Amino acid sequence: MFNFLRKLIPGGIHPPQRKSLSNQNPIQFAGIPDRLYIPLESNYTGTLTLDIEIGQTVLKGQRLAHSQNDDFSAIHAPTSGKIIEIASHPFPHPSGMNAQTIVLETDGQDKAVESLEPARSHDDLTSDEIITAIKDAGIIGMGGAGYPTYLKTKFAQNVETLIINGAECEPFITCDDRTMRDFTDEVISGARLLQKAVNAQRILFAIEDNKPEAARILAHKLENQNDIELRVIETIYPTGGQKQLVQILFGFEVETGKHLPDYGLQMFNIATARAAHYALIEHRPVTSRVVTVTGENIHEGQNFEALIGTPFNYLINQIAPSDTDYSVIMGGPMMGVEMPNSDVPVVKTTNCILLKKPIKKTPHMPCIRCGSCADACPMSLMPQQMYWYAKEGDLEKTKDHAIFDCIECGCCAYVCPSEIPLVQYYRHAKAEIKADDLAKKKAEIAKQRHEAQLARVEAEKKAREERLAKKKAAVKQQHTSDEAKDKVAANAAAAKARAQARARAQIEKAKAQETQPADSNPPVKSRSNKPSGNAAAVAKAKALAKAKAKAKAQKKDND
Amino acid sequence: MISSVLVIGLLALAFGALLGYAAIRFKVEGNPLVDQVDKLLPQTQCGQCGYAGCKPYAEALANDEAAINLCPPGGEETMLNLAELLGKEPLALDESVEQDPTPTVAFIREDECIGCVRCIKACPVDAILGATKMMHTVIEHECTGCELCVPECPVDCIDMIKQPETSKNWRWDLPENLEKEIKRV
Repeated sequence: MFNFLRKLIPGGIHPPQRKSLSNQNPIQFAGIPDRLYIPLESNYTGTLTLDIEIGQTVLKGQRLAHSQNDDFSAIHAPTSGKIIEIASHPFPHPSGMNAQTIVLETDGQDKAVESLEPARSHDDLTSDEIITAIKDAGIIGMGGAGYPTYLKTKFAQNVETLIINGAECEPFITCDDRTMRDFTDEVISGARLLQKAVNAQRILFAIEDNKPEAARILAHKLENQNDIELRVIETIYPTGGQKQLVQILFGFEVETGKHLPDYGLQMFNIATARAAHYALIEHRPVTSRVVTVTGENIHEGQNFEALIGTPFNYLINQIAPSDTDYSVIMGGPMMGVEMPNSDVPVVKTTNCILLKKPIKKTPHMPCIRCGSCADACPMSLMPQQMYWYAKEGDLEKTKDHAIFDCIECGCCAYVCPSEIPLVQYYRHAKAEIKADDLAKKKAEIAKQRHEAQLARVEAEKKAREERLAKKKAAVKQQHTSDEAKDKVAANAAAAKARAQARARAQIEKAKAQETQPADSNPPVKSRSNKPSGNAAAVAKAKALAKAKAKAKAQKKDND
Repeated sequence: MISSVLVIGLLALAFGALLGYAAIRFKVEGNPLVDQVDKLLPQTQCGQCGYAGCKPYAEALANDEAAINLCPPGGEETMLNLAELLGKEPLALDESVEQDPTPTVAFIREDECIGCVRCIKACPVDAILGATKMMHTVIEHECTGCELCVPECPVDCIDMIKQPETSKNWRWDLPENLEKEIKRV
């Protein structure tokens, strides 16, 4: 009953829009720069496999690299030309670091790969075909997050409502506004394809009421389509955030750890929908996107259809800013990140190039615990507490204050009277926590491996000991059996000898009886054999010793 | 008076019996403190503490036989965590141990390796692959950087390489310069 009194989202702010700076003219094609720089890294980088070689000539739309995993989308040549090198080059990242980058020297012909398949229509496509085509076309969330659309469609089947996000809540940015106005049919067609991909029952277009022209055109086009609803929502920053938009449209909060498909919803940006249209109907992968180039001291900004890999300064030069003293921000004034220079290339998530007055590093004032930030937080967090704990390095406490629910929208920093760069504290704390978790995971793996190694060494030692014991036992057995054999043989030999001796004695007896009684003791003879043998051995040894002594003496003489 | 003595005595007996039974019935195998301490250690298994690995050091710590500042890979953070867990005063780390938080991994210059398998035996986490008279190599993401293989190599072909900072492991810094200036104000 009192729903109209309820605030749409907790917190939120109303910064100056400044959108009319850049949304007056239709989207212009930016042109083909001499060189395109296509980085091989992004927010979600898996391992990429290159499909091209240095020196190779490529056509527009030819695949340059793909991923075996699902976590990174394919990269395609934005225009025709020659791959001149793969080198380290600046890329849009807050670290200001370089990434391995494919450098494409354009030939100006813009010759495309000829598609063997004819243009398709909506009716011939099945959900699986659409999802596969989305993956092959390298479509990622073009609103800014860059999460692979393929995964978003694959894991959201049979949702009730598909939300197409045209809120574009950040000041200055107008690329979605202009896309909805200039490419209305493509956006609607793409939305229909995404609807089919996730088997959604209906589509909900959400637009902030600061884009009346786009809303008017869309409403006109959607007049006779029953299962598409257009919802014009109040302008509050940050309505464009996924969770915030759901809260505004449906009135409930998305819980921590839950995703939209858990509620029978899925959401895509309008630029993603447009890319889906090109990929499926015209067999064109993502090779360009709409980029707003605008800024504080710019007389007139402009939306460009820019090839992926176009250096920022190529676009900036086209609007010819009078004031050359600026810092370059990718994204809007609230969530954008400062670029190290203007050489960085346009990537699939570059929605806006914002020229800002150089950010002066002035000391901020201390926190006065006014609580404005808590009021402004659209996620109902406690920014001041998180700030204290992040500053003190108490990461556990920041986690307890749900720092990972923070969407880094910057509302808290915007309202802070002490101008504390709060979001940077949160980003720092989040990065530290993630690094800690990674280290813990690594330590756990190392521990397991160490234990496994100890077990292996132990097992090997045991096995060796066992083997040794077995061998010993075998040898012993062999030995005893040999001894037994010897005994038997000895007994046999003795018996034989005795028998022989007896026989001989009998013969001799007989002889003696026959002839004379002569020396009658053959055993004595045999006994005397032994000493004589000994004597021989002694003699032999003596001879050897003599010979040795002789040899020694000779040697001495020789020396 | 007698009755109260009797009641208290009986109560004492009953509870004593209960405790005695619980001590046998719910006996904890091993020392749980050892596992807690072991969790805090970095598991590099480098032996720089003077014990044969992280677990033996954890055991020594749990039995109050070792100082808490002997773990160079863990650095100050581990020392502080240990101090908190064991209720001890934090100690300064040994100054002779150089402190470098950059993680390193072993790298075998493969064309110089003679295949003696000594490093394989030294590796506490089985992160080196190879066979007798065959080239060896380190599984980079399993290496803990303990350096135990380095002195084992008879031809000195193992280098410890610092892990470079990339956009993937880069972290946002605190807005530090602003903090310093405010102190001056």
